[in-house]
Amino acid sequence: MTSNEREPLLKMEHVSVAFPVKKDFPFQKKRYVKAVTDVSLEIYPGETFGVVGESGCGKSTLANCTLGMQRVDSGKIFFDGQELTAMTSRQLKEARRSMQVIFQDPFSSLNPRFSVFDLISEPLRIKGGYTYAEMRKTVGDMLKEVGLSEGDMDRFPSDFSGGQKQRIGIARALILKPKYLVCDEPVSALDVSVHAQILNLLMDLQEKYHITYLFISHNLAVVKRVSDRAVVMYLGKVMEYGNVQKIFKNPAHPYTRALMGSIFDVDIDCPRERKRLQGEVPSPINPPPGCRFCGRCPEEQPCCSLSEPPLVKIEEDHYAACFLHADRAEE
Amino acid sequence: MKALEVENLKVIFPTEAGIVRAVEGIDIEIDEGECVAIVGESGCGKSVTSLAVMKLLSSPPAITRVDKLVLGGIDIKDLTDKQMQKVRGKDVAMIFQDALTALNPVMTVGRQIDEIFLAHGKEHFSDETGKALSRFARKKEAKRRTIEALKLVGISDAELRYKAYPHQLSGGMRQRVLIAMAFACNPHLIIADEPTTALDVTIQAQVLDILKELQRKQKTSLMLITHDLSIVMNMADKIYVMYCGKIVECARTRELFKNPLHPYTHGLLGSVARINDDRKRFVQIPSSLPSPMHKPSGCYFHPRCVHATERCKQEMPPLEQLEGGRCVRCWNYKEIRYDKQ
Repeated sequence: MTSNEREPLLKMEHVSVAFPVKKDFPFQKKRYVKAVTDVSLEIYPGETFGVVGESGCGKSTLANCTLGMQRVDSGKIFFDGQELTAMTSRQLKEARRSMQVIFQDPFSSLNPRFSVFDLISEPLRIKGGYTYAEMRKTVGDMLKEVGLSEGDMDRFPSDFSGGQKQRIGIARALILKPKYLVCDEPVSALDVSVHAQILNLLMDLQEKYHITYLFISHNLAVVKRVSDRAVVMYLGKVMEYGNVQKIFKNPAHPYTRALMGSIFDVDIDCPRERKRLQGEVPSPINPPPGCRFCGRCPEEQPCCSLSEPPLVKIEEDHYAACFLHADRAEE
Repeated sequence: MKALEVENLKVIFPTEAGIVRAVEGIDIEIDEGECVAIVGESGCGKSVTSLAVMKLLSSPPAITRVDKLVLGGIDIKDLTDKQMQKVRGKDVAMIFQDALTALNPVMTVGRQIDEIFLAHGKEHFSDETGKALSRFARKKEAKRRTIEALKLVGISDAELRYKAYPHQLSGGMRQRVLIAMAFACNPHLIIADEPTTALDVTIQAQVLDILKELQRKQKTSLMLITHDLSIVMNMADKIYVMYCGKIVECARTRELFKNPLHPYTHGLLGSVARINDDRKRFVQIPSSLPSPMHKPSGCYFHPRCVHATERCKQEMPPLEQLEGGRCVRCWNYKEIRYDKQ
């Protein structure tokens, strides 16, 4: 996929989001959780864009920004050529018709008092212009598409297993044929044996409808398999960004290498050497000065805690923010 | 001596809609100092098994039948609830999946661990002359041991964390606190029910390392319950694979990963996402777990099995014993050849 020739579907330019923290006492200085700091990225039509990182690194905030659900403090977001960040709420509503989300937990994202038909037809009812018979037909077709049967239409979410509930979530997201779909950890609440089914389904649907996915996950092995390009985030900053194959072949940032080291494998004959990452993610209220990753980084240098490393180009469509590669910036 | 011997454990739940046979006659043996994993999808009865071993299933609704239940040499089959309270925590301990619900939110974590020492270790609380300590001195001693236990699981500033409430700790820390609680009285057996499912990959690796290290150091037996085969490879010595309340395969870890005999085990292994695998599609087990109320006839796995024959639809295969303590419940395991994954 040569990404540079095409116009990106979604473009973020230096986006930052901070959430104010409740004050402990009235005259305390205002504190902020810096959820996303200075993120720029481009997502091309038809591709799957992976977002990887530990909890609290800003993955979901980033996704909410791309949906126009989260006001940004600075920076601009363009979707399909229009500037999302400058839209009124009415225009946003219009634009969101071509965007949808699949949530992490299918057990809480489906209203237990809605039947499957009510759940899946809700986007149609909001859009308007469908008769009841048309809706029944569309929903039935959609159900077959995601591997359920038409007869499931009048059952309730509690009758289904976790994997089937996630299929209902997918059907609901796809009923309006969106251009852009955010998958927010679509399989992490499910059994490993169901992961494969759901991921295969998502890939089949993408091929059929040419949807662009933003795929959030903390499992690098899954992201590697499903996505074309990806970003590795840590405490709201981009650590590494670019083509997935290039990132995995030649991981440039120590954090990416650490994430790869913590994956478990099932090849008993060739156990990979696993490097453990020490410590936990520090608080995003007071992130460490300089590079956010210093303190946990196995390859820390004295300059790391002094200033933030810039995002430098490692190769074509592969960028990393680390002083190990700072020499490339001057080239 | 075996750390745990279970023979023919059966658990049923009579409900209005019908009888749910959660566990249908399973045998488990765990040697001293061994780590045994029970693997299966949700709803296969693995958590019910662990609760039954702890005798934590309340009856009603559950009805439990077991021929033999021996824990570290003590026969706990006929123990009453009162007597079981003495065993739990001291001889057998449990680590639950969700640390936030397992811990008491209105008590500091330090005091929660103190409780275990105070409830069980009365005989340990004596001075050099063998005289029992006063209540105050016992509390002080318990605090000392708690801080020691917290340090053991790699919590920094243990003195400070002693006074922390569960919500002030991160997910990984809370799971460490639970591990510290389980190892507190040095039990024969620790049951870990999906100990890392709620955690991030990096923290999951850390927590499992600590669990493994402590288990080796203290020579405790560990029963690890999980749905993810990838985490047990480096942890377990022996693996039981459960499906619909029955054990379908049991083998030493190395053999199971090298040469899975049951088609279900093969499917589970295939569905793990691997990093050095470049195929685009994921290998999947078709369809989903049958309803526990309407299990299929014959082999429970036959509707999802690509190798199913006429015989599989009629008769339930027996759990066949093979050499090396291996067993498998399949009619055709000899004929099936799997492609190398």
